[in-house]
Amino acid sequence: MNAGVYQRRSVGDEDAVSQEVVREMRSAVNAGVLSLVIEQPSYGGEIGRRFEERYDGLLSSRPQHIYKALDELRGQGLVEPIELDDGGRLGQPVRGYRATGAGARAYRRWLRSPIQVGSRARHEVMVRLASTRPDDRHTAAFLLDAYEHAVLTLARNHPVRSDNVIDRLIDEERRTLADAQLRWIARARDELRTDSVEHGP
Amino acid sequence: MTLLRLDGVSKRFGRGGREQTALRDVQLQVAAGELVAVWGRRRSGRTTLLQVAAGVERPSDGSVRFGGVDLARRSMLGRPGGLAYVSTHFVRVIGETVLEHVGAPVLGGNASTSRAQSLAFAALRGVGAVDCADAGVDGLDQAELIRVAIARALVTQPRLLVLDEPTQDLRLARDRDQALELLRSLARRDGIAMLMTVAEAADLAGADRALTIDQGELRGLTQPAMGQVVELRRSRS
Repeated sequence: MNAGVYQRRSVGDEDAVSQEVVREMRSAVNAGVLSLVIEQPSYGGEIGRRFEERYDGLLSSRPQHIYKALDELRGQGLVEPIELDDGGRLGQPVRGYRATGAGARAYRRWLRSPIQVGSRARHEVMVRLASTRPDDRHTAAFLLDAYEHAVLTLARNHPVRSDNVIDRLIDEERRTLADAQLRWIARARDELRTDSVEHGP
Repeated sequence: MTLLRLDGVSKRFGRGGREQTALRDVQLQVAAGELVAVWGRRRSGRTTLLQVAAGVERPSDGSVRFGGVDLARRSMLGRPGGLAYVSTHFVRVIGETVLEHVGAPVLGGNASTSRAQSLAFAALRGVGAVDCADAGVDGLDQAELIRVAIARALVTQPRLLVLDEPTQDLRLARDRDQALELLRSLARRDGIAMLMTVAEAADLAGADRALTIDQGELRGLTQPAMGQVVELRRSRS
């Protein structure tokens, strides 16, 4: 049973680990940029384009945010500059970035760090899932477990109010959302299982 | 104190190539007075989980213990201090009125009719359905029906109630909330543990623990989060 993920550490320990990793990564945009550079060394413009495709609706993809993230990641030693072929457009190498060993380790730590239960859990899970390699089903399963834990905790703690119709309608909307989230998680696990059968563990 | 304990429970139906696994290596503990809710889709194994936990179905592997008693050796269903399965199915030949139906489980234990009626009244009062006592079960609305079903389960004074989607037929949020509030109050006020399955996340509200089941695998916190706190005895000076 997979309950152990949440039972091995106390809540205080999880918070400390989570905050430490978040401090290291500084922002979700930085983490997203790092994951794209790990996936494929790229130059700024291309990273921006891929970022927009990957994190559409989840993270801001303004160019200044992408370049700021690259500067910070470089300052932390998580990415380093390299010369890349520009694909024959100008026939000249362009300055791009690739991840360092420290960057690859920081990325893995960030992906698997505990997710705090709260209203931001969905966003955190989705950003990390979008940053997960398609063949990394273990991380995807970990994120689904963490997401489910967050949804169940919120649903369980949600106060039941029967005082008036407006309160009940608002509660109903939140509960309907939680139901949809649990159904999505169950379907996502089905997909991972099927993918595992088709492509091997 | 752990009241119900499932260890390594699997349940398979059918044989040979047609065998289907409904439960896979389930671990679960329910403490006294705890309300545990399990969310699952259709055909997830949620009903089988309850049937095995109540001792209605025997597990293919593993063990189910209630208060330390192995349910494969001795049923605790319907025994005083045992467990009770809440069902909204009422067999007409049992009686005409709600009072007769609610008191019926204790008549099998050699209680007199007046004693059964007295216990049935108390159980109906406990769930806020005493006004239904003289009604026929066919005349109850869904909100009343679930309360009467809970009363019938309570009449044997169980320590654990097992409920399969208790709010599934309640269309209005108000009725559902009130039914859930009743279950919570039975757990808090009377210390009766609950193991229930739910098909909607809405019904997880107020549970002490919420779990999910999918393809027979139970996920989440399968044991009480906190150990029992034992009072420290002051030594005599």
